[in-house]
Amino acid sequence: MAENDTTTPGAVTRRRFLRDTSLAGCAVAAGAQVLLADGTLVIPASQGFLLVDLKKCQGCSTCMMACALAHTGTASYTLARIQIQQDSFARFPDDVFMATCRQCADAPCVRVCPTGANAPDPAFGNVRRIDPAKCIGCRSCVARCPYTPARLQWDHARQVALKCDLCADTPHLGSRGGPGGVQTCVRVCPEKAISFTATMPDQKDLHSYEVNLRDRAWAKLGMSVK
Amino acid sequence: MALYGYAGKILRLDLTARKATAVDTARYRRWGGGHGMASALFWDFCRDKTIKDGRDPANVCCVMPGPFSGTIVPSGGGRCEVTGVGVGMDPISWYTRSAIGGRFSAMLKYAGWDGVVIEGRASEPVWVEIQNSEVRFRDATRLWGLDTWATQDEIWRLQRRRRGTRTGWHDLNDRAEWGAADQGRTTQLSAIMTIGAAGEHQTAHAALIHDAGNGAGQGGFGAVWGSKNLKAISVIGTGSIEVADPAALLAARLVVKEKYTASWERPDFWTWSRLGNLPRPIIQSTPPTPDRRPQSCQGCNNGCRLRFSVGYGNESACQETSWYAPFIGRLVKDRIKAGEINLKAADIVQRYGFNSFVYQTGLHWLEHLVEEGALGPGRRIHSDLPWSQLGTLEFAEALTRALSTRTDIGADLADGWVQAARKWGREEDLHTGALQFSYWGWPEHGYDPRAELEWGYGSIMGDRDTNTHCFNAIFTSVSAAVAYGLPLRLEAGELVSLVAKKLAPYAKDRPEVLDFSDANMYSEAVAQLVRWQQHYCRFWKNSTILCDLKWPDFYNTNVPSLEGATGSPDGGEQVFWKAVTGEDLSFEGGVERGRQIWNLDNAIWTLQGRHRDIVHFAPYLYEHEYEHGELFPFYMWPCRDGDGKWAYTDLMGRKLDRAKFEQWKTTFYTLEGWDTASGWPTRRTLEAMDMKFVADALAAAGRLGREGA
Amino acid sequence: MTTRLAPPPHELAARILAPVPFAHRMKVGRLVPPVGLTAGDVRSLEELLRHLEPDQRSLPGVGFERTAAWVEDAVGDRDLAVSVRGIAAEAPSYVEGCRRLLELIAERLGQAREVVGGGPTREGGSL
Repeated sequence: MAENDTTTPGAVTRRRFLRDTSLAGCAVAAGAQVLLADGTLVIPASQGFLLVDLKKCQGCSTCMMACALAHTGTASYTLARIQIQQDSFARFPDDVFMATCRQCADAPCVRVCPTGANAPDPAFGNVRRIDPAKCIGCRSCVARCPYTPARLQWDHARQVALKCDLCADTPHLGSRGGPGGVQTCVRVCPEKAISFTATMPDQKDLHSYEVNLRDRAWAKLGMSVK
Repeated sequence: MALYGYAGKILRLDLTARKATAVDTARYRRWGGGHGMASALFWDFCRDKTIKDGRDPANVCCVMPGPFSGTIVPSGGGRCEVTGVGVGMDPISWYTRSAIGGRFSAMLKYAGWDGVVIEGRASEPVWVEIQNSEVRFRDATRLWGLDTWATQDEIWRLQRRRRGTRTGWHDLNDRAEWGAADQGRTTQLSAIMTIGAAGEHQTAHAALIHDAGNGAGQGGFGAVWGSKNLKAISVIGTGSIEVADPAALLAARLVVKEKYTASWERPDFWTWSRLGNLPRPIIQSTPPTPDRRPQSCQGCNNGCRLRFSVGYGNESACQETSWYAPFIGRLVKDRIKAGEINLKAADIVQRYGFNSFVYQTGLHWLEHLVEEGALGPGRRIHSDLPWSQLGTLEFAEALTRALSTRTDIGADLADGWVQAARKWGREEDLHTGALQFSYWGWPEHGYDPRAELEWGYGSIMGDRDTNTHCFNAIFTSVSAAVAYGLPLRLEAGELVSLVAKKLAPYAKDRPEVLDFSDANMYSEAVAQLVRWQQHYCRFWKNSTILCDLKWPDFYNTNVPSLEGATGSPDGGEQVFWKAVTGEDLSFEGGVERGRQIWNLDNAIWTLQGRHRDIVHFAPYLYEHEYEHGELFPFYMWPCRDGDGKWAYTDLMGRKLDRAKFEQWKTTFYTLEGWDTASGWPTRRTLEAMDMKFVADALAAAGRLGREGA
Repeated sequence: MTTRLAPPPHELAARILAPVPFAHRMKVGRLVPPVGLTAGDVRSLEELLRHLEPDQRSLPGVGFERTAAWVEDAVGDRDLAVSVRGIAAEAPSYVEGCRRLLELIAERLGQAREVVGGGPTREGGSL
């Protein structure tokens, strides 16, 4: 899958296609989304993605609490851009799910945002970010996310939507975040069950963000690395 | 001003009136949280502190997170303290404590509560539903009789929550009764703490259970809830907790991970550290499958439990996975099959809400009685249980059911095992050691008081089997290394110096406090160690709250200096305290705060009837030696020889000397500033700690210690 | 391991395979951090064998001299007791001693079974 996986218009003339894509190409190269003449939004690809090992997570939720802490200065599940779900009674590996934002190539949450609050940020590798100052709390993005659970959060106290920005906006992290920087969840995870990649996973594969991070040490601890 | 690290209010549940009110947390701020706050709340709200049985309606049970709950403080985010007068102890059921892990404390904080104070008694079974600031008393008639797992399932069903993962966000505004304010939404299941049959029948061995395998066992708090007709508390919260210095908190957490914890890249599986291991499950049998994960409480640095693909054994760990093992081995040759029975036996005690710790030594005693012909069908102690099947899963369930429902021998054991021994005319077993219930009617833990002094002394000077594992890793690590013939990671002299560096203020740089040799076992030094442990634990461990199995971290072979995280300037307890609460409290200051809490607890015990005359171990500990090779070939511990040279030495082969232990008690009371004749706190000691209100109450009850006695 | 013991006579072989009375049981333990030392007992060599089997989570607790005395007095196998004492004297570590003891007991049980006719293994004592 190409890194700059932009959405192209549907039925268009060759001439119009060349005109529009050349414009879009310039804009995408500069890192801004472009609204084409036919109303199609061209979204530049994110330069970073989180990958998770669903069999490695110990369910401590440290990533959740740390995520909220780095972004907002408070400890919280609700304000965490990564959500860890657990069912204490379920069988491994279905007892844990790590719900991370996929930074979709064709990000429906970006596309649906009526104010442009949710947009790729060229300053941080086009990671899809929500500008709380522009968010009007319509929750369209939350509803539009096609994954379960939705990878956008609802801050009911401030009445704004939240999403993973790969730690671009983390005043309490103490390091630069975003693609190329530090991701709090990756760094804080005691199990090393979360990793970062600049390579876009297959957008058509539901499981392409799930990876095997279990290594020899894991095997030495007696657990399966399969 | 923000009360950093706290939600700001404590929930007070009056079960008699079915009324919920809020108490301002700021009023109790000096006690820290967790145990300290709970003791202060008990002091204020328990109107009759002379009660001697936790099932008395006057009893007040507190379920208390601490400031670290719901934060990323390593191995601190998911612990929860439970306190109140216990059940089934001997001769008096003391005001006591237990702790439980999992998600409950974090969720309670996120719901906006720093704790729950449970008072009175409901006329009919109830469960309590907490959703953020909203609290509802629910009819539990249909839950009564369900086991702990089924209860949680049913509550989730009532809340219209779907079990499993990959489920969607749950809108907490889905029920009109919660009001107009936006309750938010969550991906999480509510956290539920509940009792099973053992609690419903108010038995001494009743635990509180949360999720599959978190339990507050010792103390019999399941019976306390049962006596109050309280089946369960469910909590879901979508709020957040403000911390004073988020950047400092994150930085310190990363220091613990990256400096004090073994790395995945160059793993040291045998590191000598309590905090800094890779996830090391502590189930006590061979895991049934490699298809499993480590599983932990919230915020843990390294999970100690497991979840499996096989459908049993999830989250059970430690003692509940060892209680049945010695008996399974009699009948089952195949180790995998034995492991399966073992873990399924753990599931049984979880479901019944049964504190399996009484089985640790108690089941051996019951077997002894059967073999002697004293117990069984038609025998003096009548029992219809199928004793010939001891070791089978069917027997494990039959026994646990009987003991949970007051049937068969459970009718007598339900109110305490030592009491049952007396009723059965078997008091002699406490002399021979056939019944190894060492202190206050609680079973010996595995750290025999004749060898490991701080465990035994701390238990008898406190309120229960102390269950504070600050120092036992010395015994287990050294003994295991010696057993394997492996090089010792730390020589005895080096180890005690490293530990002593952390023992401020009473024992700082006094390695002799760790010398458990015959010559030093009744010394002032050992008394200082016991004081330090109880004071440290009362605040740093049980009030902030930190995991008993991870903290303190005295020495740490992951670090070039070998110094552990405890008290350190980059990853110490006080670093996390300041980051979370904003208070610049020194490590020693925290220990001092623990001393105040310890004194408050002793004041409660004094009002309940504590006097030094009843502070005794079970007689077998004075009358019989802990024999060499009895349970293991040696019990290694650092001791000094006649020349003052440190070496790891076997502590087996001795018993306690009653007269010398009495002298040691006097030393201990003197150091605490208590009346040496009674063990009661004195006015001078209490007032020096700004606890005049306690001295006044003791004086009014005629139980204030005499000065200079 | 090749045993240096002569096969036991029939009567001793039967005793080797049988549980001893409860009163003659041998106390054993297990080092299971962080629970500590947990107690147990064995009433037959078969049970002792199982107690000594390697376990990823814990260490079996036996005293070699106590074991030798129990083998001699309760089971009545003097030759085996001598061998147990030999292990105690020669093993470079306790864990290696346990391993050697396990092999020795297994060998002795095998000898006993052959002597009594290869009958089914006793499943240990029952109450």
